[in-house]
Amino acid sequence: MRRCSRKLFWRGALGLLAFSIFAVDLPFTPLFTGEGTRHPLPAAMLGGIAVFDADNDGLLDLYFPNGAPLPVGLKTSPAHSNRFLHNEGNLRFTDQTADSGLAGSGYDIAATAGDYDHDGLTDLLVSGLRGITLYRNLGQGRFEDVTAKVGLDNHGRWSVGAAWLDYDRDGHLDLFVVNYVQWNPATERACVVDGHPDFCHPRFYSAQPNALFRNNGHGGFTDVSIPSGIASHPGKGMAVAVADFNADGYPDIFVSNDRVFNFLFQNSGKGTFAEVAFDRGVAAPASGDPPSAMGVDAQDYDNDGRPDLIYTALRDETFPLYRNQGSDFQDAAVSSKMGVLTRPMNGWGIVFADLDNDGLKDVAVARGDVLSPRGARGDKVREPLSWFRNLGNKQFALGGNFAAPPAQYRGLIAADLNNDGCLDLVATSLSQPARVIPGNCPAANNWLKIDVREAGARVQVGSQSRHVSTAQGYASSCQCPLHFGLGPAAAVDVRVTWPSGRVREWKAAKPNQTLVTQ
Amino acid sequence: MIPLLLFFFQAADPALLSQQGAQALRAQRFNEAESAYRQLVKQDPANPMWRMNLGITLHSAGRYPEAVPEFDQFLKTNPPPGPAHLLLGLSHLKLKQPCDAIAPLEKAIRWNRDQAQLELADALYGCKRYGPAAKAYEAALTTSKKSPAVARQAAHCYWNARQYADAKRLFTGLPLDDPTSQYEFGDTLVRLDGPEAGLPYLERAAASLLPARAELGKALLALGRAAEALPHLEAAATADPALLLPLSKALRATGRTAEADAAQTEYKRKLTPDR
Repeated sequence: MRRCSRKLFWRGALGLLAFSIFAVDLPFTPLFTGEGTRHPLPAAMLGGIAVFDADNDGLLDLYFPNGAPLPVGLKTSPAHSNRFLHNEGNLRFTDQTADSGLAGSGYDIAATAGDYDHDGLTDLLVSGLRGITLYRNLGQGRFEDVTAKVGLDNHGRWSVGAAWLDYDRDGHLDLFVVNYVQWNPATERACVVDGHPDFCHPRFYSAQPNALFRNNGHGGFTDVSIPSGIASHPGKGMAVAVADFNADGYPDIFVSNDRVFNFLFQNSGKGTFAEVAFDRGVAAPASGDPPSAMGVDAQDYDNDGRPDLIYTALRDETFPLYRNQGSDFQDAAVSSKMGVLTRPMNGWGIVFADLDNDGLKDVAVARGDVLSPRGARGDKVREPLSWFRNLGNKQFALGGNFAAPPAQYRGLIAADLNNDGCLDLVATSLSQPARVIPGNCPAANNWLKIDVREAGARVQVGSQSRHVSTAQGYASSCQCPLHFGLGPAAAVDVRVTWPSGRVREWKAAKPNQTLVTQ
Repeated sequence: MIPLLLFFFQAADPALLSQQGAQALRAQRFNEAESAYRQLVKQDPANPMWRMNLGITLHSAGRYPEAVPEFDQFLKTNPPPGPAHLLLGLSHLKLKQPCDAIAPLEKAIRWNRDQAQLELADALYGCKRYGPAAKAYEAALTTSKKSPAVARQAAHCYWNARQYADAKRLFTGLPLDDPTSQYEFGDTLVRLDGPEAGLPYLERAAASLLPARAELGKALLALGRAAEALPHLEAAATADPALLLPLSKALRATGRTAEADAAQTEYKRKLTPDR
């Protein structure tokens, strides 16, 4: 008992040490919301992050979509530009937007990294108010807009996220696009919240279907939204998580929806999807009230080999956490304590990440109210970045707030930006610069990174597992090596399983290194 | 208070008509007082005091719609916080116009907080501004109108405003002898401390309140006590279709699969129109 208490004390002390280093503002103009004097809904929805190694120099670069003046939604100034920051090492970044071809022209919200053409260079899909844009990576930090050339067309729908996945396992990356609501500035009503003009509730906007594009392997895409069954389900999509939830070898798709039932598209393996969110228990929390579901992540937090689900929501709704039990999901918000811990929070981006390298995936969350700071809540719309420590008994405790000023945080990615084996965080917030929170994990804990870039590949390290997913949290993406904290372990067995069934194993791999395999 | 006010406003102009009006008002002969003050307003329209006294007469007679414009007229030339703000706010409250009462009562508390604080809290509550109402009720606990009922109302407002930590702080010091307080406190504890903490209070309130049965059912289900949750969820789902989902989970957990499927189908059907 005494021993246990002492152990818990040190765990708490380490928790205070972790992430006590102050956040670094990036050389990047703040997100431009275009809010103006009115409250057009898109202004609340910026913006995500893509983290990927654009030039294969071993350092992860950053890309930030940005807004534009509303209601037109076209960029008219460099202040509205999307930003591409090249990683120079040691958490220093240079703005290389101008030469990259990634500045964009519309109201952009999300970015998703993936090598769709298998040329070894990571490409970028940017989602926004009027559709999607595919940038092909030409190498040396330059990109080309190939949207029309490859036949991608989201029909002008408002997209807030996407995921690259190989749904038909033909070896080519297909594209799932998350579409939010129909927005028409001419008919948008003026809403009042607690006596002040503010953003409207999503019920005032019509739903729209998501989209699925099949990669034909010859540099083009075919819209298969209708034949796949995806288009039959209009929703108010906020984010997507792709994982093989039922372990049948095919990637399934979870879509969090804003105040309507979530979707779980179960892959039949024959080019179609069945919507099974109710059957699997993830359509709505056990309370029965569909929350304002926001960002989502799917990884195995309890080390049972199955990908679990967590998504953010708004204050008093709690962040639902679902344990994958194989045949269905268990609503674990109460038993994990996440329900009580997250009730006062407004959440957007969320990631499962082992922030202290103890071998247990913690949860980091980008917080911030959806409402305007000019509304009834004033400065209270700004909240901190927080994290929850995985206690290893299927429960979480509040790890604390990161040393970054309160803001309306949105996108969040955990990635090792300086290759020190400790996960750093990068977060966006409305009207403020993006921030990096350097990791500061205990030196006694070991780590291992596996660089396998194929979406859907599954990596087992000891009792832990992770899969490669190109969509993470809210409007964000990380084409990054998979990171595993190992605690004091001196050697671990590693097994990588590709979607094709190919397997590679390392026996007693040494810690504190990056294993690269393609 | 009103006789004192009359004395104050009359002291500066002791004309006969004014004396008659004041005497009639004190004797609650409102028609007579009204007549006197209306004559004074006609003879001396530049003197705002006659409008104030006419407003007091009409307010005292329960003729609030007519009193409001008289106070408004008076305040146009006498804007500093004073009794007219209190009486205007009270008139709006009597007229069930709580949102209109807020501005004058906010000024009135700068004149006399003891008199106006509770009325301001009532106005904010009536206007469904629960957060500010809770703070106003809590401030009223420092006035002469302090009572357990005011504390309960403050806690109730904090609960409505979803400020559960403050609700818990206030509820904790109260006797909680009514089902509504038991329900709200139980719900508060579920949200702050988890379902187990709120169960005793929800169980007491569930005997007479359907919303308490709903929360009790959800709390029991979350604790894995589906069989115990079932009767509460069945009862509460008749009023709230969102409860059909937890009901279906409770039915499934107790082996009533066909009924669970039916409840889930009904839930989807009833909640889908939100799209």
